[in-house]
Amino acid sequence: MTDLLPLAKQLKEQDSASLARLIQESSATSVSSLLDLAKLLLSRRELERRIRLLTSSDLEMLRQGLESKAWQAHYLGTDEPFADAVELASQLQPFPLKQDLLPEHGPALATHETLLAITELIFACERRLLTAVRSGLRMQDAKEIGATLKMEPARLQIRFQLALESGLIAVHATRFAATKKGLDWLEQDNQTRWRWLAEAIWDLPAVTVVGNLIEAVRTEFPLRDLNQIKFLKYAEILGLTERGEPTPQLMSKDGKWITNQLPQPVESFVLQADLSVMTLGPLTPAMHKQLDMIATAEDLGLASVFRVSPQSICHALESGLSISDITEFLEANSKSKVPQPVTYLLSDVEQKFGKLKVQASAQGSLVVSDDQILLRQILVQVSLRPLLFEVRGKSLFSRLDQELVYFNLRTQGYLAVMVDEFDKVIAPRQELEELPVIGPDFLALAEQMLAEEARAPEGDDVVRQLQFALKNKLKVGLRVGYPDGSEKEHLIEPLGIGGGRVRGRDAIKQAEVTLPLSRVIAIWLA
Amino acid sequence: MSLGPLIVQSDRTVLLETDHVNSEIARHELAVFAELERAPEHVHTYRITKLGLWNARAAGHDAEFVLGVLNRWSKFPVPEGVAREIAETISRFGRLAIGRDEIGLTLRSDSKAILYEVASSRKIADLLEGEIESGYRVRDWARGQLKQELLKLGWPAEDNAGYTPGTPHPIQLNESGWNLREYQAQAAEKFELGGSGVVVLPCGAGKTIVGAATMAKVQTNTLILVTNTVSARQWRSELLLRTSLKEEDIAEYSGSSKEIAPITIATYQILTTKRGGEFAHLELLNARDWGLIIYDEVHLLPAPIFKMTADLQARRRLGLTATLVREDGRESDVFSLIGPKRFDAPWKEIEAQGYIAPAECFEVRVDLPDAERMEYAIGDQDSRFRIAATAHAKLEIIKRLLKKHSGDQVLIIGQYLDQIEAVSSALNLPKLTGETSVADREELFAKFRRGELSTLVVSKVANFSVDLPEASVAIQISGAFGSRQEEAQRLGRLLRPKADGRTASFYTLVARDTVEQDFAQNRQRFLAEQGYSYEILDADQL
Repeated sequence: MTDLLPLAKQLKEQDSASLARLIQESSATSVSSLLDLAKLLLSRRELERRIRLLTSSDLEMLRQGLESKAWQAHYLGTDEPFADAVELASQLQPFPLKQDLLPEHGPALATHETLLAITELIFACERRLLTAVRSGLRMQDAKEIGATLKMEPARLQIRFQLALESGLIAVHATRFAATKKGLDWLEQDNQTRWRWLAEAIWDLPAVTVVGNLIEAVRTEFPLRDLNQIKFLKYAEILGLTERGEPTPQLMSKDGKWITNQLPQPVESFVLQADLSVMTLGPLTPAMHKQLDMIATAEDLGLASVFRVSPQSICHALESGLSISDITEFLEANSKSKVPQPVTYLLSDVEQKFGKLKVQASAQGSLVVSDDQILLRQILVQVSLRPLLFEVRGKSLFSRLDQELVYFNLRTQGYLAVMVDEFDKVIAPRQELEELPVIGPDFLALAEQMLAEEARAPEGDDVVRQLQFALKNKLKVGLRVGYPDGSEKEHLIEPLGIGGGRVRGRDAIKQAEVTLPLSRVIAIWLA
Repeated sequence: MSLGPLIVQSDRTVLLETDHVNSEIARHELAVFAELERAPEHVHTYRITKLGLWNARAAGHDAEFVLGVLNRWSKFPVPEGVAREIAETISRFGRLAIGRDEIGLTLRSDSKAILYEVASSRKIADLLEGEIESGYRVRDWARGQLKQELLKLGWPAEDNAGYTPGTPHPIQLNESGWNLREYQAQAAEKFELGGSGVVVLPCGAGKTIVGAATMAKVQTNTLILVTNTVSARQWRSELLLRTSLKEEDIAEYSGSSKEIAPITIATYQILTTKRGGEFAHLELLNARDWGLIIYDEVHLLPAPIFKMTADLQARRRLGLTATLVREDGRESDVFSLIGPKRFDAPWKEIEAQGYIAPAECFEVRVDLPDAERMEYAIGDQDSRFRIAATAHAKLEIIKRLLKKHSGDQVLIIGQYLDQIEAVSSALNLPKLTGETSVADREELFAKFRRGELSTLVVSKVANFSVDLPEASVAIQISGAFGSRQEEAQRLGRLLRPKADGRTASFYTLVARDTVEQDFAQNRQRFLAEQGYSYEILDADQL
């Protein structure tokens, strides 16, 4: 704790931007003063975090306790390193990699699969209730979406994490939802899509790469937790490395290589009587988006299969398309004539659309329809019992929220739509665009801390440190000068400050003492 | 790589664009190692399976050949993971070989590590006897089980132990007034080359003839296993008509007759009949030195027959089916115990050659009146399907369809006996169910074939193995939930080419907005994948 004051002093000299960065890096959102922050930075966890960022040469110097300008830059000392940092540097061991890189199908195909998977995941957020769990997607969801993408759950999860990392998908209440950025991402061409993803994970520290990238980073930063370097985690699925070795794409951050190396996309499909829509090549982003709007992806890859169904057409209508829009799109892009079962399906759904509505109510939600037999069917259906429906006039009431009721009805095959208080159909996409993105404002916090520091009088370190110790129940060492010229050191736990005196429990004598503040010559936190 | 007709995907499926100029040659080469899964009009789907690759390896094709085909015809680069896996999979075949020496069966390998690995599995150790040079001795009865277990471990053994020739019996095809079709000859040849395996052909494409042609090639005592007595008798008459076999050469071993002859036709049911906890007729399998066993409708093979088949690995085995789709997912057991698919032809291809009748399929959506809708709505999950399937509203539609097809031979096919009874009584039509005696069944079928009866109401007993060449209309009023093979087999009743070249009509009556509609979609999948399309009609359009 003797290092607390020098570190606080160093923090005080930082500009607000640097301080904000530091607060963010150390997740110090609950600190309110520079002393608090300094104390946090001297905690073992925070020292370890910063020591692990050191290069091999800096680390070696730290272990030997040598002087260096680097310590200030890393808040590990003044010119000399903090003693705790030196001790810790000698104790720390390298982190093992939590998981090996999963084998991919080469850079181009891996990238293609990543773009495809994230597109599908964004759409899955609209169609399914993707519950947020700690590991990302629930295993069942990962299996089902993975099956569509011909991808094992682990390979899908990493792509999902990339979508989260890139801010394309976020947690909304208890479920995952596409963000505004995610929906914008869908509108971009493949080159831009790739670039957005790459930029979100480009945290690779400066290393000289020879051979395996992971080994290069490990050599240059021996204690660094490689699991925390996003670049290493996602490089393989963005085509930046192949089995750990850098690819030429690593040098081309603008993503121009995409156009040449990804298989050429197709602009048309084959529409078949079994309601399947098949593309004989990779989809263009625009085509993928259109197809995902009106059909459900069954099988995505170099070629893709979608299937239109009552639910998928209902989804398209909810999203603002009309039956004639859909027909026009199918006729314009299908290599084959629109088969009769598809035409029949479109007209069937058109008749049913909007006949079963889910409204929000103050206590929950209401399911409304003119078809009383249908409501009766929903009421007695065993698989819908968890929604706790009860009859309310000519509607069904549930205490659960509108979205939950809606998704459950859709899962059971009912063509339900959500409506607002004006009876207008709520488009699932429109709802998601309004999601707030909340994050702590680190800069404001840094500025506030610096302002408070500026207001605090200079030279009252004794009082401030005593207050700090009092607040944190810490012991302090005090050297007190007495009228006879003698000096004496006390180790006390402060109990109160007032009237120019500090009252505390003497840790050695096990007795309460009162000392005049004016006679304190030096103070240190024990 | 070229802009070819194939797209190789990372899950080892291969899509073939049928309109591509090179699709024929690519298909020919691909079929050596990949299984045809779906064959709709524009794009066929194949799957590269371990079994398919090992099968190709057994036929002398190495990884270089397989990757060469894919690279030559693929539109996009073959995914690296797929290429790696193909090479790795093929390299595992043949490292173990089952052989035969003067003492008995052996399992040998040039790798001690592999031998120790497999022998350390308890299930495999039980099938082996003492160690011999470069391998182990295999218990005499364990050949099939050993192959199954080795396959599960991922070390498929090359089976060089050969087949017992069986007691010879002369059989020739009697091609007077007819000729073996090209695909039938190819199927028989492919089987002969492989020794054991499955031939998949559409209903009505003459699988019995393929069986006869195979028998004529193997010329040995043959045991034919079929689904029921009616089918047994159809096999018998077909063999008498198409081959040199005489009455006395063929015997029936069923519930009603227990004879054994050089060619014996037995039902699955009789083989699986138990008495005192034991299979009562197991001795049939060794009653003669069978050189060939034919499994008709192999997709229906009951589980006990799989077990028995494991012990019959020394005999040649031919499986015949139109739909290698097992609702119980045991396709891989068919492959490992009967053998790999030796021949397969898309339905529409045979139709294009004129060997099966063209067919139009219709799904008729029937509106339920409010009373029936309410009954359905308040019914529990289990009863809803039955309520929908047996809806009274269907009766009116049946009448309309019978009127529309008044000059045609019509089958009304249902699942529920009370529904069949109701339709039969209401329309005064003869019915045929499991309760109908074999003699009565044969008589009803015979009358139907002769045109003395124009309409028959039948239960699932007529789903398969019933040859009714002139039936040209089927009205499916109910079925077994989402069974794809039942749907295909029922359509199959109509596919014998008609004398006047008529197109067959297959109607499925489905209660609108009920679970029956969802099940119907699943049922139609197999046929849709074979290129059949369903037109959807409202009942009032009829």
